[in-house]
Parts: sequence; C-alpha cells; structure tokens
Amino acid sequence: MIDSPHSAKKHPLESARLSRRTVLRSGTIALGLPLLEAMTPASKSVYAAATSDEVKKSVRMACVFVPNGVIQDSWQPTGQERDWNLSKTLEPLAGVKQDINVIEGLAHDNGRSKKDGAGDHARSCATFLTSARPVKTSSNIRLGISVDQVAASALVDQCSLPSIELGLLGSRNAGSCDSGYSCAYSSNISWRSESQPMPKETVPRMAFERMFGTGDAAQQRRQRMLRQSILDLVREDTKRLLGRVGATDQRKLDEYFTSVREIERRIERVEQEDRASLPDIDIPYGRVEAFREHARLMFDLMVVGFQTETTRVATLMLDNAGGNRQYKEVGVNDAHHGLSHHRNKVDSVEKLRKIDHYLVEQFAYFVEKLKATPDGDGTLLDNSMVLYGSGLGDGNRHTHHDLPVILAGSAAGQIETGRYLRTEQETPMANLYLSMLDAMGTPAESFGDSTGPLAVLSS
Amino acid sequence: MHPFATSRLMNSKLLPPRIAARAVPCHDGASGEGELARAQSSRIWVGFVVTFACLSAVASTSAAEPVAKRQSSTTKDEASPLTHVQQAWKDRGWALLQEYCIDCHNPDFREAEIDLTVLEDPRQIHRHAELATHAINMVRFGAMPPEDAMVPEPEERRELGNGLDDLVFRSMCDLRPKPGRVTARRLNRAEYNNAIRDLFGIGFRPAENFPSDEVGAGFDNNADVLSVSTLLLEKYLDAAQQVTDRIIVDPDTLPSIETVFSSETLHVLGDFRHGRFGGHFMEEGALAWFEVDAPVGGLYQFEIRGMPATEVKGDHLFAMYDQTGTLQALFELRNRDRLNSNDYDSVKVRLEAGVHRFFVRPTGIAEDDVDLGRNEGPWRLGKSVWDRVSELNDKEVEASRFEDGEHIEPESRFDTDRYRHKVTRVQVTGPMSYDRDDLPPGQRELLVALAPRRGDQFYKAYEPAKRCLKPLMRMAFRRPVADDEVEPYAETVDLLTERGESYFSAMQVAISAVLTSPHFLFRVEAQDPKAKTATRELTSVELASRMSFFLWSSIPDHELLRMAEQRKLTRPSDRRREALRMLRDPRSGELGEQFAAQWFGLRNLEGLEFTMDDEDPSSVLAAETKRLFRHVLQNNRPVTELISADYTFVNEPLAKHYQIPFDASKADEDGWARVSVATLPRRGVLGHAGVLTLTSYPTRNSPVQRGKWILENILGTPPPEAPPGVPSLEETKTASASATLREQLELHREDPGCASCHRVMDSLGFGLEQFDHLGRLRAKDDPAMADATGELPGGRSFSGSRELAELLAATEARRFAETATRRLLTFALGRELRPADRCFIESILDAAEPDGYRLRDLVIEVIDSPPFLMRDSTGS
Repeated sequence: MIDSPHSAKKHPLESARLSRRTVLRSGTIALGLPLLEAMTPASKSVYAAATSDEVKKSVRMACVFVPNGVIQDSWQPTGQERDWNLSKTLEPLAGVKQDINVIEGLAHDNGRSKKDGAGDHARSCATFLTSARPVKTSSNIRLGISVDQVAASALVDQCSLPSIELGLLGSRNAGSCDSGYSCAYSSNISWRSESQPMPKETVPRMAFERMFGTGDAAQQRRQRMLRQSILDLVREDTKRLLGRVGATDQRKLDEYFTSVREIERRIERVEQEDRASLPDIDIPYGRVEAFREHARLMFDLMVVGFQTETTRVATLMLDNAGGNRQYKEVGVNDAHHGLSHHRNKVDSVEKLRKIDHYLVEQFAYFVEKLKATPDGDGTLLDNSMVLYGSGLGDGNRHTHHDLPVILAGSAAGQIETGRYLRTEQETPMANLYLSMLDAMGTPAESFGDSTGPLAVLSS
Repeated sequence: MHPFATSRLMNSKLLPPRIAARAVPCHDGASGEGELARAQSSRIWVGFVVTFACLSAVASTSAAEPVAKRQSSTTKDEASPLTHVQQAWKDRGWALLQEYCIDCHNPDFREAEIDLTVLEDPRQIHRHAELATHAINMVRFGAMPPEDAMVPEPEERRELGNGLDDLVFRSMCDLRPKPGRVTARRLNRAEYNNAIRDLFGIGFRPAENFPSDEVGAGFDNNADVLSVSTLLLEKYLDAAQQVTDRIIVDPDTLPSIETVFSSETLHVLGDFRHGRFGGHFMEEGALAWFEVDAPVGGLYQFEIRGMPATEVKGDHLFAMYDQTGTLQALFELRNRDRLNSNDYDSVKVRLEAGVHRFFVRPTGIAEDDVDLGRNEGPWRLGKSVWDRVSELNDKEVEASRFEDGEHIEPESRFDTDRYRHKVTRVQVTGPMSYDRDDLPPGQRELLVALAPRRGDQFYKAYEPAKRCLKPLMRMAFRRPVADDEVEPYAETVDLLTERGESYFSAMQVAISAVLTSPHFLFRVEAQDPKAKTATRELTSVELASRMSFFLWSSIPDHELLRMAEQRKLTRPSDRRREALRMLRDPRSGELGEQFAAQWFGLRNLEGLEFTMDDEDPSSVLAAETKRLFRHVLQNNRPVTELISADYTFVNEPLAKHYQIPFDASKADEDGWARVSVATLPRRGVLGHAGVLTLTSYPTRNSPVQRGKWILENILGTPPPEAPPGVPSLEETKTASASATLREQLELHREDPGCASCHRVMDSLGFGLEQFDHLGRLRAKDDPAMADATGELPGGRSFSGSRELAELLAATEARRFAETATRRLLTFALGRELRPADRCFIESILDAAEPDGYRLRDLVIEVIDSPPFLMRDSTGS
C-alpha cells in the first residue's frame, strides 16, 4: 500500500536505524520515556536560541481535518494562480493570503464506493491522510500508514514527541459507525500502521501534559492538584472546627492547621517552579465544552509544540467523519451531517456556508498565530506546512474529488505561497503528500495511490 | 553505671533529680556528724514500713466511710466551723510538717523551689492539692526528709502522711465533681490503624510508617503530649492515598472487553446469505454463534442488532443459549420497516472469567404469543435447556466456523422469504464497572451511587458523591454529619470530574480528605464558647467515642453509633449493656494490646537478642501477659488473679523456654494453651518471663529493677528517682569476687544516699531471685536460689516468688486494685490523673470491693465514673 523509503532495502545503516525505531514505537510509552526525557534539554535549547541553520531547516507539519465536505461554489477562489481573490468562505484568511496556497482538483480515489457499498463518510476520513483503501469491516481494521506518521517515524529521534494527534471529539475504535465500517475509520486520520490508528487527545490539558510533562512531571502535577483539593477541604473543616472548641483544644488544632498551611505553601512553591519551566500558556484542567475555545486551545498547543520543537508533526480533527455538531454560536441549530445532505435547499446551503466559514475562521486563527510567532530568521508559519481540508468535496453527493484543500506556510521557503493552484482533476491527493514528505526532509518514493510529486506545487 | 540511670522503667515524675540534689545541703550546717550516723542506723527500714503501713491506712479509711457519702457534703463555706479532719490538721498535722519540713521549704528558703507553708490553712488546701500530694508521696515513701536531716519517727511519719492525705481527699471530694479537662487529641497509631480496618474492612496498617507517638502518663494516648507535625500530616496524606488506592479501583484501569461479532467473526450454523450492507440472513433453524473471552467474572452487556422475518409485526424473540443449551438471554427485536433496517436490544448476563460460546436463535416467535413469566417451559432464563444446542457436537459447530482471513461474499439478490431472520452483529461489553469480581471487596458497599458518564467523562457527580460520602463520614467522624458538612466534599468530586478526573479517582480524593480531616484525626468534644458552666455531661454520641476508643482503641461500630444517636448511652443501664457487648467483641483484645501492654511495660521487650524457635521472643513473652490479662477481663476474675494466678498461657516455644510439657492438642488456633503452674514457683505476671526479662539487664537480672517494677505497677507507688552522683552497683566497692548479688547490694545500701529507697525495692525484688534474667527457673543448686527470701512489714515473711505473689494478692488487694483503676482511668481519659481524681477512684474501688475487685467490674465502673461521663473545659 505504501512504500516509505525507510522500509525499502536501501542502506544497511538505514534499516538498522529503522529496526531500533520499530522497537521503540512498539514498546509502551513508559519504555520510551526515559529516552524522551533525556532529549528534552536539546529541544529546550532550540527554544532558547532559535537562530541556527538547523532550526531553519526543521519544517513542521500540521494537518487539520473537517468533516462533511464544503459548499464548493463558496469555497473556490477566483482568478489566476498569482492573481486571485479569496472566496466568501475563505475570507477569514485575508490576513494570511500571501502565506497560503489554495489547491483545487485533488481526489481520493480510494474513498469511492467501488464494490464496498455505503460508508463514504468513514472512507473520506480513512483516506484523508492515508490515501489507502479501508477494508470494510467492523472488527479487523486494515488501512495504511498516514502521511503525518511517515514523517513522524522518520523524525522519531529528533523531537521529544514524534507527533501529537488531537481532536475535539473522542475516538471510538470499536463498534461500527458507518454502514459496517469500524468506528476507527471515521474517528482517526492518523494511522501508525495499517492496523493501528493513533488515538486522539481531546482534553487540552492532557495534550499539554503529553507534550510538556515527561510522564513523571505530569503525574506529579496531577498529584499536586489532587492533594491541593484534599487540603482545601481539610482547611475548611479545620476553620469550622476552630470556632467550636475551647482554648486548649484550639492550640492543639492550631498545630495541625499550621502543618496544613505549611504543606500548602510547599505545594505552591513547587507549582511556581514547575510553571516557570513550562511554556507560558494557560491550559485549563478537564474538558472544554465550547467549540471555539476548545479548538483554539488545541491550535495554541500545536503552536507551542512547534515553537518549542517538542514535536514537529501534529494532526487535528475538528470533528469526526459524519460529525453532527450543532454550530449554534453562528446560528446553526441543525446537526452538521444531517445538514450536509442539503439537496440544494437554499436555507440549508446557507447554513452550511456559515459552518464552512466558521471552521475556516478557526483555522485562520491558527495560521495567524503561527505567523505571529518568530522562529529562526522568520516566523513559525514560514517553517511550517499546514494542511486544512476535508475528505469529501461535495457533502451532499459524497464526492471524493475536487477536495477542499489549503496548504499554508512555505516549509522554510521550499514552497511558494500566495497562490491559487488548480491541478488537473482526479490528481491523487497522495501526490501532494509525496511533495509534503519531500519538504519535510523525509522523502518517500511513493505513498498510497500517488503517481508522483504534485507538479503545481513547485514554482 | 547506676541501676536507675539505665533503668528501662524510669518514668517516675515524683522527684525530679534537681530536688533531691539540693535537699541535703540545706541541712549541712544544722546537723552534726554524730546525728547523721545515728539517723542512718535507725532509718534503714523506715521507708519500707511506712509505705506499707499507709497502704492499709488508706484502705481502712475508705472502707469505713464510703466516698459517695463524702461527696454529698455541701459546698465549703468559709465561715462554717472546721470539720474534724481540718481541726486535726490544725492541731497536729501542721505541727509535724512545721517540725520536719518547713526548715527548708519556707517562703524565704524555698528549697527545690518548694514552699510548704501554704498548706497551713486547712480551708485552702484544695488550692494546693498537687503540692500536697507530692509532699504526701515523699513523706510516705521516706524520701523526705533526707536521711541526714532530722527525721520523723515511723508513727509520726504515718500520722503526717495520713493527716495531709485525708485533708486533701476531703477538700477535693467535698466539692461538686471535677471531671478534669480532656484535651482534643489525635488518634494514635494503633487507633488510626484500627479505624481504617473498621471503616473499610481492610487489614492494611498504614500507621506503621508514622513517627512514634509521644507517651504521657504511661500511655501513648495522652492528649496533652500527642502532637501533629508537618511530617506527620504528610504521612497522613500519603496513608490516606494508600488506603483509597486499596479500597477504590477505577474499573477503567481493569481489563475489559468491547468485542463486536459480525461478518466473519459471527459464525452461522446452518444456511444463510450475507447481505450487501452486512448482516447474516439466516434460514429457519440456523444459529448464529460466537465465542467471547471474559477477562474476569462480572456482568456483561450483550447487544444484538438484527431483525425478524419481514412479514411479521411486533417484537420477536431472539434467544441466546450457552454451550450447555441453557437459555441465557432473550432479546426482543422488531421489524421496523421494509428496508431491512436493524432493530437492537441489549441484555446483561453474568459471566465467569474464561471463554464462553453462545448461540443466537431467531425464534420467529412473537413476544405476545408466549408467557415469559411462567415458571416452566422453554423461556426461563438460566433454567430452560434447549436440546437443539445441548445435543450439538463440537465437530459440527467447528465446521461452521469462519476461518481467519476468510471472506464472505455479500450478495444482493437472494430469497428473503427463505433467508428471513437477520442477525447483523452482537456486541459484548463489560464487565460493568459496578459489578465485576476484581473490584476491592468493599467498593460496592462504599460506592452506593455512581455518576453517569459520557465516554470517559463523568458528569452530575454531586448527588451520587453525596450519597456515598454521607454514611462514610458519619462513621469516620463518629457522629451524625450535617448536609452542609458533606457538601464541600461532594462539590470537590463534582469539580474534579469536570476537570476530567474519573468519578473513582475523584471519590478517592474526597475520601482521602475525610481521612485527613481534623474531624477524623482528632477526637474533639465541642464546647460552646458562651456556655455558662465549664463542666457538662457528655452527649450520648460523645460517649460512644470515649467508650470505643477506651475498649477497642478504635471508632464506634454501627451498633454503638446507632445506640448513641438514639441517646441511649446516657442511660446507665443501656450504657452498661453496650459496654458489656463491646467487651465481648474481639476488638476488646485491644485492651490487652494497648492498655495492658503499656501498663506492664511490655513494649520495653522489643529487641531481645535471644531466639525462640522461629518466633520473635518479644512478642511471645508479651503475648503471655496479654493473654492472662484478657482471660481475667473476659471472665471477670478478681484483678488480683493477675498476680496470683496458678496457671498461665504458653505456646510451644514458651513452654520450651519454661521447660514445661506442651500439649499441642489443647492449643487454640494461634497455638497457645492454658497450662497449670501450680507446682512451680510461678504465679501471675511476676512469674511471666516477659516481666522478669524487661526488669533485667541483658546478661544478669536486677532485684532492684524488679522491686521497682512491683512498686510501680503493682503497688502504684513508684520510688523517687535516684539522686545524681550516686555510685552504681558496679562502682560500689565489692566485698569479694565471689560475693553474691545480695551481698553486693547490701554493701551498696551502706551508702546513705541509697539506703531508704533500696531497702524497699531490693527486698521485693529478691523475692523473684529464683528466676534468671530471661525468666527461666534457676537450677536448685544455683547459689542465687538462697537469696530469694524477704519480709513484708508486720512479720509477713516470704520465701520465694510464689509466696511473695500470694502474699501481695492476699494483703494488698485494694492497693493493687487501685493501681489497676488508676491506670485504667488514665488510659480511658487520655490524660494524667490529678488529685481530684482520687475521689472517683475511691468510689470505683468501693463499688468493686464486695465482689473482690473483679477486672471487668473495674472497667465498667471506670466508664460509669464522672470523669468519663463529663467534660470540664477549665484548667490550664
């Protein structure tokens, strides 16, 4: 299905390296941790002095998935390659128009029904980053490695975290979600191997801990939080009790109260030291219910992860395939998937445009934030490749061609941005991935159903 | 080294060394050499005689004039005429004190910072009760006046001691009961461990890692000395976490399955077609089957998706059978439309761990057509057996299994009338988090309510948390808890689940907080700051804790707390019944483990360096004494049996140690048996190897320490500490290398600084000389055997330990009962006794006397005494 250079029989050293990685990756997280921890100082030092050539070359890759396709006529820009205008849906990207490419005409042939029958949503998600055909089953899932994971496994030695997979809604890896397809297909875009989806982190705080806590630090942070909860209760109990006892008893309880305060102060001190060693970002504990806030926290985390080079590869699913979120904040009370089968009803289409616009607006926040973050001689956006798109073109008809795709960032000057790129229809999306892997410095000979690098991308 | 300096029993507070050291110089100028010599020769027996003389004096006074009557006297009136006791003090007692004591202890000289002139006015004596008690003890013991001063005749000494004692006793007991202050005190290590055991039913003892508890007044439950350090609080936090980790397990961290059987993993026995959109369309009589591997016993959910024949309406039965053909579940599926849309239904089934094969049978029978409630017939869950399945042979079934990698070709056109029953998939999920065999035993009882969850997110945790926490907090805090006390805890659980913690870990936090709360860690008896009187009766609920910590060294159980909440414990008869129930409960063994062990100093046995088979000698030796104590308590034997028992308890190693036969068939489950020692010199605790060892040095025994131990723990009159600068036995010039210990001690006693006290101690201690430093009976030809003789005052001579023990039990019964009572009351209250407590002790002894001071009676009387039933918040 795929043919990564690292699995090819090339140089003996190469394959030796791969086998070690394989061991690492197949081990538990705990097994990998000591090594990752040991690497932390290196990545921190990059954070501190971001000027070396090394940094310029370290390209970051992010892929953002939205479900249910788009209203294509409102998505497509107008004009020529270098002389073009943003469409209505893409308006939020005005501030970064010169930093993005809108690519038209790409397709995922493996997303099509062929003889597998229904399940376009599952397939649209499964193919999105893998360009591979999912085996229609609810139990023995089989797909292919995804583009982000090809890059991540090649870079495994270079970052403390090879990749991070984020989402706003949890993965279900068992059961069937769409016409006999396992839920794994419609809730994961990142696949480490043909049978191994990468579960998404949906709680921002947990993602933060995964990125910035070694396992121990995260555990200790949680411990402190729990202990503080205990002490809060105990302190209140003591205060209440102090009012109900005589002077001698009060002295005894004061002894105890003093100890409570002492331990609290100690926790506060450690907490402060801990915070000082972390990126300056405020991530709340627990789930974040509001979509916009949740999405932006995830984008913030990706920015900080890239900035500190804690990781160079990230994916984010703003919703699972066939997602049914109601975007009430932009006045759409209908469920997204249901709405996507609009049958050209005017008000349904209008609502979908609002959703498309709203989702692009969130993406624009991410791109702008990357642009506002210095990295080396330029900005973090300059050194990144950020893909935004859906596995479906027209959600109403479940088409797998003419997919909505934006690629932001120039991959450290390797890609000319500010263009509207129209490729020949039916060009495999995999060709774009081949080019992206090239720009990442992790080239592959072929990927999925690729036929060669994406010609229009090179200027 | 002086024997006292190394004594493991050195906890007397009667005479601080500072006082003894400065006592002599006061008289340096006043007394001549001749006088000193005369004093020495005539004084040898003084202390001893006086001590025992006054013991009987106290006994007789109390017997003649019951305390109850004395306590009923009216409040003292300054203007009222002096009582005869007060008059006697004025006429005679004060004169003696003036003659022998005031020379040094006057306002100007204040020797040892003591001024005894304040004792002159008998009406004011109650203000100086502590000082007076100290003086009484010094005079009676013979420690004061010093031997080189002018000393009273024995008769004068007795008169002075008794007169002052009487005066103090009257002055205290004439007033309203003064129950004495009990400070809020934290649980000690034993109590903490026991509370954890009783709260959660686990044997985990986290307090073993806590710092040692401070000891005050001889026990480690003394409120005034028990303190809390930051280190201890950290230990409490760690312990709470360790406990909650053991009692609550997040089921998500345990193995579970969510297995889907469909297409190639859902086998079909019989003819079928596989539909284009999934699902097996089965012929009449075909069975779908699958194998589920349950990781652990528990309740599993079976969800089936499918559809009955197209032409029928209403719910139809799909039956699920296990391998034996027994009906395990009935699903009801309905034909919802004509588009082959699946219906689904789910049922929970209990599975043991292991692989189970199930058969699903689309019956084609409408639910309306059968009576499912019948006690017979084919539809009884877990009972009805279907021959079709029970008679299947394994080969036949295996033949229908889809091989791994086999692909079933879907078909779009087939005869749906023939292949009319559709089963698309079966999903087995579980075990359910609330019903699985690998949860900690108490978890289900503890977590009576669970928060609902969406995915891994729990929500609405407040109410269920409150429901779980309230009963637990009631037990942990040992009283009813108000809603507004539980609410902050439930809010914390709610908040933590909102932050993404599981309900289980959030409950662990809340319960950890309960275990760290001052309401759990401290025994606090609330006090209304605006109350007019400082003294009040304890509430029934407060009494429950006093009783349970006294008798069990633990929290009240459900029964006791229920009684308490019904206010029954303030009723004497109910309280007594409850106390007796508690004493019958095995938890009362703690009275032996905690109380008796500390009374007799058994904890000093730790670190013995000899071996007793594979057992720890310290615990074997201590166990003998604890068992005798428990026996005397449980059978309500006279307390004197502790010193006179002609039986004891041994296990095999101890029997070997004693060189007595051991009949294993008579031993209890712990390997201990009661044996008679009637023919041996061993009697009661004085014949226990534990007591004999803890009063010895590692290589030789010490009559001095044994005597001191008897004075302290049997007679309740600890000797004053040795003055500094007194040479130890080893430093005393030796008569000859072959001198016996007795001869050496005689020499030692020639030193005037030692004589008065040693005369008493040594004489008692030599009575036990038949036993060596490990409590073994010496050989008959051992020269030390000849030393085992002595004499009690009044010509009560004895030979050997047996006679000593029997003599003590017979003639010092009240004295020993008083010692037992004082120790019991000290332990029960968790505070040092004060002079005023004397009144209550006498009263307890009077009540127990007619039946011969039975131990359980004494315990019950302690519970019924004013200091136990009342609370006084006055004082320092």
